[in-house]
Amino acid sequence: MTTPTPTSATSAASATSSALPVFRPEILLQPQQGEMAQVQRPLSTFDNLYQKSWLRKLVILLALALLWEIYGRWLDNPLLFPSFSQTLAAFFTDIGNGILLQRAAVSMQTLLIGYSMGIVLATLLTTFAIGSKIGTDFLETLTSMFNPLPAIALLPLALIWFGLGTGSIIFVLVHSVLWAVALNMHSGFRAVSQTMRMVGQNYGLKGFTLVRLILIPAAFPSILTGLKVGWAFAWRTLIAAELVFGVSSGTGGLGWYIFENRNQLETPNVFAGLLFVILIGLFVENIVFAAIENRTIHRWGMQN
Amino acid sequence: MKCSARKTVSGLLVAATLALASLSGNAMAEATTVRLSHGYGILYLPLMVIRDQHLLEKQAKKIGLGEVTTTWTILDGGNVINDAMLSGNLDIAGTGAPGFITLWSKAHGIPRSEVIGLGALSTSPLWLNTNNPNIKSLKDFTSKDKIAIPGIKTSLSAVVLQMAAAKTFGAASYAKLDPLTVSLGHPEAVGALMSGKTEITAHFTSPPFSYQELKNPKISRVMSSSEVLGDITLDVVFGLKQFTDKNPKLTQAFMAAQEEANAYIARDKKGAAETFLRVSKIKLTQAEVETMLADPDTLFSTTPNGVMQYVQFMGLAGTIKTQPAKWSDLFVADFATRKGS
Repeated sequence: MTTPTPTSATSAASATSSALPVFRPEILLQPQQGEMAQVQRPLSTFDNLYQKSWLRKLVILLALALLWEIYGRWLDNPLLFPSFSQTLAAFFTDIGNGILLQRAAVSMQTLLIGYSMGIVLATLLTTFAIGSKIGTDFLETLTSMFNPLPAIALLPLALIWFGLGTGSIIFVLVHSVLWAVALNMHSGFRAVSQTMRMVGQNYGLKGFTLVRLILIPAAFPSILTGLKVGWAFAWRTLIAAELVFGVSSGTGGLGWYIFENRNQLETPNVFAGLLFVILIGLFVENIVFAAIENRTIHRWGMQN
Repeated sequence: MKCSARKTVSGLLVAATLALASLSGNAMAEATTVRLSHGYGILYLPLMVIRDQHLLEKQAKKIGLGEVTTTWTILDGGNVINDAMLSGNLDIAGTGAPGFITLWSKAHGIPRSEVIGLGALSTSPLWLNTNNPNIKSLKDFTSKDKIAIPGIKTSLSAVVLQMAAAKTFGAASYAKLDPLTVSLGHPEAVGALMSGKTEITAHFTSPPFSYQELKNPKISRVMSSSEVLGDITLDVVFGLKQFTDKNPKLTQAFMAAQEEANAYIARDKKGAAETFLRVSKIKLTQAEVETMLADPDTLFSTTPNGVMQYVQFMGLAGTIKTQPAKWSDLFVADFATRKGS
């Protein structure tokens, strides 16, 4: 052996220790009484703020606006891409002089006419459909045929039938609302439990009274979904129809405002118009429909 | 190429090639393809002749640019042409003077979008025709009537109509007829007016459409622009300023080609009429087109006449905010010495 190995070393150690008895002191370890873990700690200001979803969204919006502003200034071409501040300036100018509000009022008026007509028609159609097998087939056939057909595609036809102006636009609006609402209403009606329906029939309700007093409240969640989808369709259709077929300035809605300003190369105003379309959409989704939900399905405990 | 990022990249590329070119001592090569557009009517005849006889290619060769290819599209209505220009899909276009002035004014001070006129194109009387027997003058239009024009607010017909309205109803009511206007290309508008089945009851248009419509006994003329404005230049040719700056020789070649086309139209009415029928594919007889060309109010000249009338009017109407100090500011430098207005 040339190098001392560990085994030889240990054997040497055992040789020396074998002379004395082995004594090891006892080790007593006290369990450490650590500090109490915090059960509740006040959140820092940042965490507190971070909890609020509206604030998070606001920060995102502000960041986007800042990016837009920086990019717009860097590009320095208000014809192609106005900055955020230019857009806002155009927006407030046209809100101030009432042009935008007036245009929005025209659009809203057209929209409400078309929307309510669509809902009434959908209700009639579904009431008729719920009564019999053939009615159900009729509704299903029509819906599957017309629902995939984009409303704007009907505009050329509508222009021939109803001329240039609100008539045509209302026609395509009705088309865009009708099928979405009818589809949801019908599926909602069919999901109403037989028990409820029979209770209603026991009270002697028939036809439209049964629909009105039993089916509509019972199927309200899906009807509301239909109304929401219908609204979104109608709003998009309306703006697109006014834009694409900006055929008659007599209709003068928001889409027309965008079209007109595009033609006059007032790009900031085009952006302002688009911004207003977004704002109205948000308002209806988050204020109007939210209020309806709170008053009905949340209150009735149908949806949490 | 709307993507501005791409524009920056292409800008960098241009800068790089410039640097390379200056290093190697070569002059910048000019573009080898030119994208041009013209509209439908007789007002665009010089451009049709240039297209038909390949005059631009010919002049480019003459000036020493070698082989140049041209691509042509048909665009009508100021707004469409402006969109194509701004997005960089067009180099040279014929358009109504008001549309050009609007774009010139809006783009003034934005280097990438600035436009410049290459010259006047033509003038001819615009006629307001109607199929409504009750309409004898501008005052007889009611809200039930619809006037078809190729583009609202900025197209030639739209602005000339406003000018006529200003003369009829007073300067403040220049936009009185605007709510009646409907955006419709000339050929479609002719069809609509002739059929009488649509809501279109009037059409403000240039030859040959105005002539085509009047052949129908149900249609009558309400007004002619030459009564209101005289022989004012209606259409001009323009391009992006960066295009003319980068391609000075090509710009010269185009202007020479336009002069040649105008000379040809003056010299050979018959041939010009044939060219018009061939390029525009409009269903008219040779004799009818020759009659139109013989109209003393139909003129093809590169020197503008009366563009400042539009500028003043549009300035008063608030359509444009930036105004050129003199007419030649709207056009390339060669025009500074010419006698236009």
